[in-house]
Amino acid sequence: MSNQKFHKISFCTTCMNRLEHLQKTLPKNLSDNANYPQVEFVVLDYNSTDGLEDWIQQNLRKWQDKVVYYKTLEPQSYARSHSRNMAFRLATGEILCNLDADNFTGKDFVRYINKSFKKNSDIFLQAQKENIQDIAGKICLKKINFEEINGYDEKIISYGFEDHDFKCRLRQSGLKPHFFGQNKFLKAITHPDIERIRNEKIYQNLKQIFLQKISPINTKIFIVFNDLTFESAEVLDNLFYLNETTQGQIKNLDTMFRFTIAENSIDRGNISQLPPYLEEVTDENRKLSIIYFYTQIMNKSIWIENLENKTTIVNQSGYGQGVVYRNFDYSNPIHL
Amino acid sequence: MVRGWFTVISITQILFTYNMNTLIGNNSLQGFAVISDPEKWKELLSNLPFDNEYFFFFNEERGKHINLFFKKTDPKTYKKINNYLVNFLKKSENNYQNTENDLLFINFEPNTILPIIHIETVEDLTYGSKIEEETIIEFLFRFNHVLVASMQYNNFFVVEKNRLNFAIQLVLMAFTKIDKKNAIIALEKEVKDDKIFKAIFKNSKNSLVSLFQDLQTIKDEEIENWVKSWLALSNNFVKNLPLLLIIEIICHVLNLKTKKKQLIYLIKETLKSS
Repeated sequence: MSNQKFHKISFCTTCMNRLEHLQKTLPKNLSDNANYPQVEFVVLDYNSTDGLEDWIQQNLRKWQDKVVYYKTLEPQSYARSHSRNMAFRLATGEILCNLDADNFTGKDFVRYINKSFKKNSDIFLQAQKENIQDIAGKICLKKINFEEINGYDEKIISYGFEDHDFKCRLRQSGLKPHFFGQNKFLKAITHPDIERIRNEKIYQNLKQIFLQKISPINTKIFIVFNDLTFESAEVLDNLFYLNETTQGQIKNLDTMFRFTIAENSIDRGNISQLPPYLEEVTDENRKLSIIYFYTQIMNKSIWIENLENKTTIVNQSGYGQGVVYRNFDYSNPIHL
Repeated sequence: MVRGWFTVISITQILFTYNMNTLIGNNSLQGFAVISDPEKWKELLSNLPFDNEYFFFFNEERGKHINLFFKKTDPKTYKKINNYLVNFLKKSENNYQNTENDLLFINFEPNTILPIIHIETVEDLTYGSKIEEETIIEFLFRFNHVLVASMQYNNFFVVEKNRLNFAIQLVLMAFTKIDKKNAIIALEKEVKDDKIFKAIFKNSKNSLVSLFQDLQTIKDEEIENWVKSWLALSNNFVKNLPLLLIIEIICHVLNLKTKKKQLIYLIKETLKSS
């Protein structure tokens, strides 16, 4: 880390069809951090179709050199870890901060980051109240530390636990978490859960959801996609003890561990005929809730696996890969 | 899964052959769920053959039930409680049926008991990491004495609206037992709105607050037991636990988790409007 007074700090925002949020947060974040000399806002447009590009183009000059706009035309759906890895790789700051499109930085957050990293070298910053869902992803770290652990785990594609896993691996790599707790740094736009998952593959390609309710503590979720492939897994509620054959395997449970995917229960393939005993979920809100729940516990199992195997470095075959274009220049593709 | 588990069975054997190292604290609690008719809860709790401290939550997840916890005890006592519950459920002979309402899972069989290997409380209470677990447990033990005393109101607690009203009373009474300085310290950490304490402490015309302040001046014999217990409990614990945590525990125990924000808002508005 250089000894200069002001570290260059990059706020990285990935965005797929979240123009509505970015229109509220980006101008405010720019103004709240305007007095800091070395700041950039990296906006990675993850193939949005909601007019994000036009809006940025109209405003880019006004924002001078503080905003750098990248667009990738490849993704058909939003991949959380991959998009963050792309944006982080594109950022030029010594210190990076993931800033979701619905997140406000808060007044002078950039100065707070600079000061924190001046005082402590081997740290990363995270929100104190992790239970505030919308700001759990607000993580600041040195770029070199991001590179050391190969970024966010790209096995995590859908909503949930990508930031939790990331923070855990940063800790495993020897960094200490420092917490920001001031209310002004914990603000985000509240919005329905549908907006968290509507651009994700599992939701976009969803055809039907079926349940096989086996007992009060286990249920099989059966998801059928438009291409007639399926994915299924058995969900366990570990709160109650109902099976005498599982003695000796009890974990110290908290909410995070309460629901898990049963071992060896994940199944994927092509579907020719649906099993007759399945109950279809037809209500749209229930479907949304199930997808929201399902992606989180699936991702949680990836996090737990990394934790149990003490895996710090992930994405062995590369991360954040793809082609992007900088500031509307489509004649010069950047290959990551 | 073997359906037979959901009939009324003796849980003793399962528990004793099981490593119960997973409950809250330093393996110091045991518990189980009693899936039964809410109208029988009062009777069930009133006749527990048990002198030790215990606490319970009302819960409607996958069928109405009580989650009952107590300090780890000797096998003889545990068997006694188990037998009591088994006999109670056999004797109750009711036609209680759970209404299915869970998104994913089927309901528990009515009139059954199940060992619980974990309680969800502390994690759900967002202050868990900051406050000594033992303090919360102690509060829960004592709070449940208040509830048992107040359950003399027939089936009062079966109705959510009644539980909500009861929760409002508890919160307001807790407010009357805290001094201004401590209240400000406790609340300032959680709510950046000083109007709430201004309303409590500066507006003497507030009828609800006045009512509960009056409660403290009434002679002991004229106050119901549960009120006396709650005032004493508030006096002891509001100094140690943030008020919002107390509200959170009240909501959790009374199965009003989804109503917590509403409750806080309602109390705030009541105080502000007087």
